[in-house]
Amino acid sequence: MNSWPGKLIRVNLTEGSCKVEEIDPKLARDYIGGRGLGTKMFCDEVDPNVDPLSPENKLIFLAGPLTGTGAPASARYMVITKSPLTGTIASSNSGGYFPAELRFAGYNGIIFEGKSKEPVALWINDDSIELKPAKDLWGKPTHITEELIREKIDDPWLAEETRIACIGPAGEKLSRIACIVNDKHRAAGRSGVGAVMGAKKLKAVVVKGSKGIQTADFDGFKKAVRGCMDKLKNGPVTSEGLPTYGTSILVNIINECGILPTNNFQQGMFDKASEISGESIAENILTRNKGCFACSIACARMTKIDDPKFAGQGEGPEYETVELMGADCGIDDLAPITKANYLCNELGMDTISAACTVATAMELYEKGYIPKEEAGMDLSFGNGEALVQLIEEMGWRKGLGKIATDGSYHLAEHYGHPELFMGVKKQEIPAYDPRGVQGMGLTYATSNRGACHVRGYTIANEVLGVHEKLDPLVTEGKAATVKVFQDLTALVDSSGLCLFVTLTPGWGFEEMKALIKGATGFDYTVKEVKDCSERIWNLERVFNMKAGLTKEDDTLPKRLLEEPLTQGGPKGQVCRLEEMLPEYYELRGWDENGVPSDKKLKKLGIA
Amino acid sequence: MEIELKLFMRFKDYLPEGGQKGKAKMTLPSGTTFEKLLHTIGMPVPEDKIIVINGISHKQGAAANGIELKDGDTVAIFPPIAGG
Ligand code: SF4
Repeated sequence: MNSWPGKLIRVNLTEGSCKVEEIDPKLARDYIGGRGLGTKMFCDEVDPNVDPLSPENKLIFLAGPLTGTGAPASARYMVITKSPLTGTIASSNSGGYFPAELRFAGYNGIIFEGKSKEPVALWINDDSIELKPAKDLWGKPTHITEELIREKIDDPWLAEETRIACIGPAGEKLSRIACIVNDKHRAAGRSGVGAVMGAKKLKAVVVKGSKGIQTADFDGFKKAVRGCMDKLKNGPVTSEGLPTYGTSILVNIINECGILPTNNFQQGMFDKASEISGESIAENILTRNKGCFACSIACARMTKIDDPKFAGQGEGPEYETVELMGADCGIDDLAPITKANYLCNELGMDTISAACTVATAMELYEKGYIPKEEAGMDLSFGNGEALVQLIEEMGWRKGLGKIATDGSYHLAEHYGHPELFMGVKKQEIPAYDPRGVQGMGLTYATSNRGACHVRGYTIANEVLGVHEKLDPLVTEGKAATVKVFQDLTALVDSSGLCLFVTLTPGWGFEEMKALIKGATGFDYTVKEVKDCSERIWNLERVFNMKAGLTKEDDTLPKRLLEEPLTQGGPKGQVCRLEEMLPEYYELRGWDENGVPSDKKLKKLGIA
Repeated sequence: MEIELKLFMRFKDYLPEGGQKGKAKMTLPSGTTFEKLLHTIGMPVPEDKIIVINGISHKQGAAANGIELKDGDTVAIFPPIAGG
């Protein structure tokens, strides 16, 4: 029997009950799965004005129709909820092995509602679904939580094969930048989804499955997979760039292009960039490469730090992390950066938001806005020890971390200097300065979950020339580019594939359609999957508008709009958002206030 | 005229003599084009690459190949990479 749309588990944490439900095939067809379908289910059940940390908010884990199927990089799932960081819809993606395992157990998703009185964990083993007390796990970092859970399983083989997603102390303490960590090192990172899990007193989800995943049209699916595998094998980035060097290889080129955020986005070049580059990681701390389920790209990096002050081992740092904990904090030493990365995984915090918050703290401190006695440490740019100490304090919500753990928007506000927050919709900007890559500015400003690079990664074309090479400094045509990237991403995020497959030249809607059609049996055309992508994007927008966001939120920090870069190729540039935004609204079929028109919504079947 | 050449990852193999850590100062006849530079260092012109001249990334192909380099230019060449 076809495994899609299949079943999901509904867990009421207030009552302590679990039941299995069928997913509505009509919704599945219109919204694909993962991010799209999860958002649709969420919008149907939750008031957009809900307090994100209240029992009325829901938390949805949802796989896509391709998750676990063996299609290339079919490793991903989505966590959908209302974000306590941004107040927007949140959908955070993660890979590893947990998402596929959930499908092997026979479920495509889980909806958590209500709030438990005491800490609990959800245990799933095929048909057995049980909420178990987790008081003993509460307060434990994620890697220890995983180990303690495995110790509870008698059969050592079963223990080894069990997959776990959990929160760390940050999620328990309702940090607005808390993430949900699975397989120890993978995270549904952004927008504070871990705090929602913490507010529900849900510590972990433990899954073991033994069932197969059936695709609707096996032959058609196999053919589509083969075609896509060939593309991946021939794509220089997916066959060589990412497998050989990992994501942090970007440090040098982004620096060369003058868009490497440095000292809280005060500059776009870092003179010590090579010290924190992918090459330096490979030479100094790399132990081995690693991949997620069914992924030949295997972009992850296992590392080890010997320096006794920062000793540890784990996964990472990825590009965003090494850049933001490195250059953006003025730090050129991989040891504290990597240690801070490990701590984020162990304590359960988004590395991007955490790193940017430290960078903001450093600027606030250097400008004298955080009094020395309140900081409790020397927060000067470049101080690796301070990075590690503040991250630790944030994870446990203590010291300066009491405020910083809610992200840099709250920190900058608290100290009376909101202009030093480098983010959009209260979420921190990732590691590309949009003053030297205009399309990324529009991507950040219009992302439905606040500043984000993986909602429309136009770096691929504006800098790296993956599909076609565009001039990064022009604004002309960028609205259209951003829209296409956003829509394709919405589709990939809903399918269960990793976004990195789209770094293959020629990988687009056609390839996605073939795979999704084979897996679901829905007779999609390319036009239909494009409509699905737009439907997803517009539904997210509608939710955000109902939650109170307006056109005023589609903007960038003043620094990026008004203070020109001072070095390198983009010297003298600011982000010219105003040249792109009106055209973008028009292309989307929205009015001049960024509100989707009734006509557009009707056409997409949302209204 | 003198330019600074920066080569990354496996392209470091093309570094001219005297270069170090992927970087070399090169003295070239004025009017040297990007394509001529590739010939000089022995890098095949059609090889897939990312070209950054003076901090601006260029589309590979005829237009980039024809760029006339100037005294003081920085030319950086990377194999195809991406991430994020
Ligand atoms: S490309 Fe990297 S992140 Fe994506 S599925 Fe593969 S290993 Fe995981």
